[in-house]
Amino acid sequence: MALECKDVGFHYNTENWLFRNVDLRVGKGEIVGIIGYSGCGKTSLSKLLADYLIPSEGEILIDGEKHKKGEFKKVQLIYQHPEKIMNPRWKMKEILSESYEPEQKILDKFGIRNEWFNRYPIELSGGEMQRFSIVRSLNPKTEYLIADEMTTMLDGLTQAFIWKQLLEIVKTRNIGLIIISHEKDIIKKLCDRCYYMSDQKVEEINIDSIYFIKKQSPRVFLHPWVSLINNKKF
Amino acid sequence: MKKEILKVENLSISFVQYGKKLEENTVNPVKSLNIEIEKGKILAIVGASGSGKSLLAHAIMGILPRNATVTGNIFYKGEKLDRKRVKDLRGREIAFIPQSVNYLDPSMKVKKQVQIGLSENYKVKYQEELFEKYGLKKSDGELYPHQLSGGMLRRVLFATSIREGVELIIADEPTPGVHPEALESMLNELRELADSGVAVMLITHDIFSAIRIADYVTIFKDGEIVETSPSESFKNDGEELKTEYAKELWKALPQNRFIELEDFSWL
Repeated sequence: MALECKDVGFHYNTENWLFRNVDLRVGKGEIVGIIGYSGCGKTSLSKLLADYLIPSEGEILIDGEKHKKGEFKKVQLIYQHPEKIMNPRWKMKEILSESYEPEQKILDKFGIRNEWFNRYPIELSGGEMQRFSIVRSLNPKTEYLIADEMTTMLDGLTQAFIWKQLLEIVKTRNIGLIIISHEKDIIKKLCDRCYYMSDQKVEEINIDSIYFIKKQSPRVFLHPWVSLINNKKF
Repeated sequence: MKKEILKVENLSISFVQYGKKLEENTVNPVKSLNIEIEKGKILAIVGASGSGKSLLAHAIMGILPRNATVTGNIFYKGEKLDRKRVKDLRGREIAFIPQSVNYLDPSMKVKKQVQIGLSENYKVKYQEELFEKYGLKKSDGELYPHQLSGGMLRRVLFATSIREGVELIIADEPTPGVHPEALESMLNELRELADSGVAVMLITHDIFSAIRIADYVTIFKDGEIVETSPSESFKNDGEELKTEYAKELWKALPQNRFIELEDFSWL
C-alpha cells in the first residue's frame, strides 16, 4: 500500500523539462520529507501527486491504481496559502463542509472556534484559515496527505501546535504524509525518510545529511508564451 | 539625544464592522503601541498571525483601508507622519516590502517592476545587479509574476525596495518560502543597510532569522507588545526572557522543543 511515482517527468514547456525520471514512494503511515530550492518544482510535483496536474511522462499510482476521474481523491494537498484555495464569497461554514461534515472532536483538536463559522476567509488570520484547510483535507476517505510548506506563514507556537495535532491524526488513521519544507529542522524531527530535489532530479538522501546540502543555483523554466514572445514568432 | 528615525506613540487601530441588523461592532486589533527605531538599528517584530503586525506596518505606510480608525502618533525623523507626508516619502525615503506576493503587478514584467523609481540612466544595470545578488537569472526578468515560484517572487519584492536614499525600510514578512541561501543574502543585505545608517523594521515570525540580524526583538500578542528584548536574550531555554509567553514561543521553534512542547494554552 503506497503512493508511488514511477519514472515521472513533467514540463510546462516541451523544450524545458522541470524534472524527469522521478521515482518516489510513500507508504501508508509513513512520513516522508521533500527538500529543495525554491523554483525546483516541489509544488508542481505535489500537484502531480494530488492529480491537479497530469504528468508529461510516467505514472502515479495509488495503491497500484491510477487516479480515477469523478471519484474522491485519496491524495489530498494542503497548500502553502490557504487563502488561495477558498472561495472568498463563501463563509467558513460552507468552506469547511464542502468535502464532508467534520466532527466536533476534530474541530476542537485544531482549536477551531464556532464564532469563526460565520466569517469570510478574509476575516480570519492565516493561522486560523490554515486550520480550516487542514481539517477540510482530513476527509475520512483521505489516505495520503501532502503538506506543501504548510506552516511557513505561521508563528512558532501555532506551527508547533498544528504539527502536533496533525501528526496525531496521521498516526491514528495510518495516513501516508509528504512534508515539503525549507525548514530543515522540521524535516529532521518529523520525517522517517527524505528526498532531495534539484537539477531536474529527485533522489533519496540520508536525513542527517540535509544540513550539508550545498548551494546550487535555482533552475528557471519559461512558460511557452514567454519563449514565443522572446523569439517574436507571432 | 537619540536619533530615532521612527517613533510610534500610543497607536491604536480599530475597525467598525456591521453585523446582523446593521449592529455596529468595533474591533480593536492594535492597542496602544509604543515603538521606536533608531538610525542604523534593526527592530524585529515577532508575533502570532493575526496579532496586528501587518496593520502596524500598513498604518505607518498610510495604506490602511478607509474604515480603519487610527489614534496616536507616528513620528518620522521627529516630525509627524500623516497620510500626506507619507505619500510623499514612500518609495523614496521609506521603503515597504509587503507581505503578500500579490502586491506585484500581474501584467508587468518583473524586471520593469524592480526598475520603478530608478533613474533612467542606470536602472537596467542596477536591476540586473540586484537580480544577480539574489540569485535570479537575467532571463527571469522577462517573466511575469505568475511564472515565478513563490520564493523567487519574494526575492523580486525584496529587490524592489533596495534603493539609494532610503532611510527607513519596513519589511513585512519578506522571507517565507525562500530557500536558505537566498534568505541568507536577504538578511545580510538588511544588516548591511542598517550598518550604513538605514533604520529597519523587520516583521517576521522567523525568530531565528530575526535574532541573527536584529538589535532588538519586540514580541506582539493580540495587538499589544508583550516584551522587547535585545536579540542576545534569545538563547538556550529562554531563561533571559522576561515573560512566559516569549519563553513558550521560543521553545516552540523547530530548532528547539517543537512538538515536544506540552502547553499550548497561549494560543
